[in-house]
Amino acid sequence: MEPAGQAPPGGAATVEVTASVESTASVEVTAPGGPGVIVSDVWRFFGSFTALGGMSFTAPYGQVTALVGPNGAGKTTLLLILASLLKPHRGQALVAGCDPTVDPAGVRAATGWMPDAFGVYDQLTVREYLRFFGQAYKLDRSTVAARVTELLDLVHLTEFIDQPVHVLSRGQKQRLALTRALVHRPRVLLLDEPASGLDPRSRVELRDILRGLAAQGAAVLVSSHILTELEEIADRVVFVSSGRTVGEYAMADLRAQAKRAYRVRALDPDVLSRALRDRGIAHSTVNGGVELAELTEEQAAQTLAGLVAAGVPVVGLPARRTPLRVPHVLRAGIDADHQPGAHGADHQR
Amino acid sequence: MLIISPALTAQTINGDRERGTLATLQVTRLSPAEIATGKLLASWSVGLVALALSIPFAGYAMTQGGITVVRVAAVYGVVALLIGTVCAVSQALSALLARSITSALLSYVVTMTLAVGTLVAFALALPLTEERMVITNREGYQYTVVQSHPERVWWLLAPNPFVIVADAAPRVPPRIVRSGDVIDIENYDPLSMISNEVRQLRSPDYWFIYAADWSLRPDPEDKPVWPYGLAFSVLLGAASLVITTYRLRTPTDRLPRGVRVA
Repeated sequence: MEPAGQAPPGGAATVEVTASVESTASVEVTAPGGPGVIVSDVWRFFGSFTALGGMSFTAPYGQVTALVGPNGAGKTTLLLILASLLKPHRGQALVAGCDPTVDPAGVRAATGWMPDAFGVYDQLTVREYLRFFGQAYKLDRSTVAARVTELLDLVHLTEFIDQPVHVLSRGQKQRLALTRALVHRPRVLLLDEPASGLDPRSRVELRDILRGLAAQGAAVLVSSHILTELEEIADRVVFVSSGRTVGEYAMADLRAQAKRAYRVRALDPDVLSRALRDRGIAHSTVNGGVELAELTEEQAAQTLAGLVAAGVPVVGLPARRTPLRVPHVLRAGIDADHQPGAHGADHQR
Repeated sequence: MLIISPALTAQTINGDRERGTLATLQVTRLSPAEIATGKLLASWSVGLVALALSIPFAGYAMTQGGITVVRVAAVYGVVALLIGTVCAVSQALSALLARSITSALLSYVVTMTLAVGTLVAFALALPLTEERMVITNREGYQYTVVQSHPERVWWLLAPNPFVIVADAAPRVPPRIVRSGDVIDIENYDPLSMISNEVRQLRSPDYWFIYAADWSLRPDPEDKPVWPYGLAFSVLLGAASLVITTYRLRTPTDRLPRGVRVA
């Protein structure tokens, strides 16, 4: 499946990094017929610029796979190749068992694609817009009509069904674009930066929709340049940089490895600080509360157990919301975008 | 019509690219030929609606007499086809060029080339056909003339839309005009005039050839120009549609400078 032995020219370092990461551990779950998306050593050039320099990964059915990397890492180019719009110059991709270069029709019938920048036909109403695309996917009229109501209900746009598309807000248009990608019940879903520009509530809704689709067995591939954006959406993360895969992770592993600051609240702060001092646990007092230094989830659990055992009346141990960081081993391979500082700035956009 | 049609079609493809609505169409199960044909039919039908708006005027002219229903129908049929050609060409340019402003301009250039450029080309080409000829007249007197040969370059005028329409229109029945004692047979109207001119170009009645026997002079009526013009027009339109379809094929290998897939 994965061409582990094929080293792209001049890319020896990358191969080493990939090999050192337990990347295949999370790919066991595969529906019959193999993964929804297989990308093996895909290259694509634009003139002298190498957009993709041997990208490889898989996106299994029933899971949400995140494609994370800085702008210009080749995410959009890759999704265009998977959506059968662009030819790879080297390597092979398989989407729902079909090669987009050889059998684009097979890919299109099984794939829903949502680009990062897209337009809508402003003159049409929401219903007409979806009906048009339903028919473009050669669904019969009654199926389309049923599908339109079903999908608008899914994305909470039912009240806009007879409104012209141009009255929709950006987030609503994004949801409409998602329904367009879903109109023919695709088994594979390719979403380019779907979470960008969404408010927190829309993001939660997006998460629920995508998790629901994955639960129904679809292979969902979502790209973003911000890991945190997809933290609660994705099961797996594929890190890409400069057109290459630099690591594949299960999101659960990443979360387990991630170190976060925890704020401890206890009924008696004095008892708490004494217990912490006695046990030699690094802590600081921030804004009138006690904060523990960066811990993994496991370490946090151990600390909590210890404090409780010592009789400290702990009320809560909330983790401070900090962006999930790119694993340490990959830092070298990923551009400045993913350094913690730039990351935070990105997040606030 | 020649002004409206390029404007309708010149941005159907690259405009959709700029707005980001083309790629979403290309990933559906619609084939490139279906997309190209659908878009062409859409802009063509708008052109036809514009054409239909002029029907009342034609109807008025008919009530004034002299113009038959057949003639009107023929003219409208040919104009409708020509609108389709202009739309198809503009669409192909829109598929070939990255910017809609460029394709719109070039569509007008093509349309003007057909409407005016063909006349200019004919005017420029005619002197090139000039030949020195030695003529012997009835008295046995020899002299040389410089004669141009429009029958060699008449085809330059065939693609001209005005020529096609004028020549394809069925002839108006001659009108008998009496003014006092003079009885005149009139069979000239603007369309017939153009038609007679171009047909004569195909078979010029050189006085020096047929002077001996005027009855040998070929009848220009036998040499219509419009079938060539219309065939050219249909071929041009079909080729344009093929080019558009070809340019809409995905997955694409090469992208022209400045063109985004999505």
